[in-house]
Amino acid sequence: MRRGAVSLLLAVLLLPHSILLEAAPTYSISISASPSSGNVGDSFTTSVSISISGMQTGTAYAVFTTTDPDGKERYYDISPQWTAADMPVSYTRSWTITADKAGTWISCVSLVFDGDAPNGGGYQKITRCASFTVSDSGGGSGGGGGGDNPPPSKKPTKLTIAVNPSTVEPGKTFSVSGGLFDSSQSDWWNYPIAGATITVTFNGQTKTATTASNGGWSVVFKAPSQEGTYTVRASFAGNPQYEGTSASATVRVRRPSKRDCIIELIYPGKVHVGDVVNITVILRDAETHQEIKGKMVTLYIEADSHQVESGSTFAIQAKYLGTIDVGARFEGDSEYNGAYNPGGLIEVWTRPSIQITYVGCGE
Amino acid sequence: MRVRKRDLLALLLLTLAVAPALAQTKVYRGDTVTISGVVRDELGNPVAGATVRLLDGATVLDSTTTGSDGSFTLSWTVPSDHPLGPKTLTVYVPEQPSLYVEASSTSVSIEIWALVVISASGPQRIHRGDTVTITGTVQGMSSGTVEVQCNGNTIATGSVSGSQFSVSFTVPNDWQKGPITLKVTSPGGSYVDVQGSQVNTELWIRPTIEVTEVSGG
Repeated sequence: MRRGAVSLLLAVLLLPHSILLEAAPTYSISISASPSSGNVGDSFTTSVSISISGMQTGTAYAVFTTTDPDGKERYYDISPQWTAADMPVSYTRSWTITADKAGTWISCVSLVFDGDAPNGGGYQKITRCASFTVSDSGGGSGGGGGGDNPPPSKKPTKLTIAVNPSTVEPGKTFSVSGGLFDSSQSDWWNYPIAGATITVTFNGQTKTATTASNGGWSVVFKAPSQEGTYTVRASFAGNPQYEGTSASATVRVRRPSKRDCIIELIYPGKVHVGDVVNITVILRDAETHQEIKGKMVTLYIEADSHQVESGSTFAIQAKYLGTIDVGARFEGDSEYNGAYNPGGLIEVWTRPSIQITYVGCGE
Repeated sequence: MRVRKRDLLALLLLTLAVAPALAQTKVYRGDTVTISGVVRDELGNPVAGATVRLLDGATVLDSTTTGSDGSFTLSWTVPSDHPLGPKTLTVYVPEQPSLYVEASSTSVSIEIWALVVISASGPQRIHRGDTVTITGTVQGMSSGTVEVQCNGNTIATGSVSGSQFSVSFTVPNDWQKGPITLKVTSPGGSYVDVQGSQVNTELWIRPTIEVTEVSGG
């Protein structure tokens, strides 16, 4: 269930911000930690104020946490649940922790909307954090000879990456997005890291993005003309506070699969010598049977070939008794596979005229 | 007789040449009528190898196949007892799927005629007052009448029986001596051509010798 919440958050992050069917609720969150730095044994107070208005259905609540430099959760509390009847909500909360470890402590508030969210969806979790730095009290802050402090331990991070769409046509753009999170925390919640630089490489190109307050980042690339499966790699170089991390995904560059088509040949089965014979060539989608216009089709008439536009009618005169062999071929193009219609025979008959040249007696 | 028929033919051909729209062709019983023509398609190309039939109603009189130039010749010998008068024959091309030829026909009008040929003979020498008998045979007519004419005047008639006839007359007294041509003919009838005969004879005088005086000397 906790993991579910994480993936749901990711899904929400990647959702396009489009569907605003009705007025969504609005909110504001402020969080601060005071003092922002101190020594082990000092007390640090986190103050949060939340205001919500306009929520029409569902519930909202806030989760308050503080984690120590080892990633251990040291404070956890949850607000009452608010409903539409409580609008507008104005809520403040503060709590005090006595720091017993040196390092960076982080206090966060996550405001959870369930039913009517500001992003227009049914669910949204908004997290804001504040941190305070705790130093060892023994170490002189004067910075003198201060012994051998162990280097401050960096927090592990987690980088997610997704390519959308994962299969793209040559020359079209696709987006690479993801989120950067502090993974030192509990296994159910990844705290976003804002303001971090993400370097994304694809096919020899490099782009950078800065993570937003929700940890999200996004860049856009153009797919090369060469088909294939390419790797997109995103990396976070790390900073004094966080370890670097990287993630990769693949994007498939593929020409759109060609469709099958059929050639329809319309011609009379039987004509007479001297008749004008109309041969109509129609290219159709093999699946939808929709007529495809504007493609050139080779029409074979006996030993001759003619380039005709699909949908057009080619006229010949039947000159001789016998048959006219008709067929058609489409060579195919970027959209459609080639097609061949062996056609058939047009029978050329005659209603002969009998001319009498002589009537008389003779042997 | 033969020569005459050919003359007739020449006349016929001349008529055809002048009036290409086919005049009705006269054909005598017993003669063979020949019909030639060309089978062509709509564009005028010859149709080779096509079957062509000559029909009298549903009866096939002759059948042939067109040559490489589309030409054909059909013939039919008119039976000697065939009814006289106009007759329509059909030149018929039946449907021939292997050749992509549909059925077609055209009609040919002919006239069946009879040619009556009289051959007569009589005495080489006649005399006034003689009863002269002209006998002979008639081809192409088994019954009917024959006439003996002299200078356009019918002097005797007789009937034909079993293609034979015998006509007698008395030589009038006013005929002059010398050669006499007797024409033997027949009034014929519809669609009958008569080829008469001539009997050449001579009127001789058997003189009477009248003795008017016998005296002794």
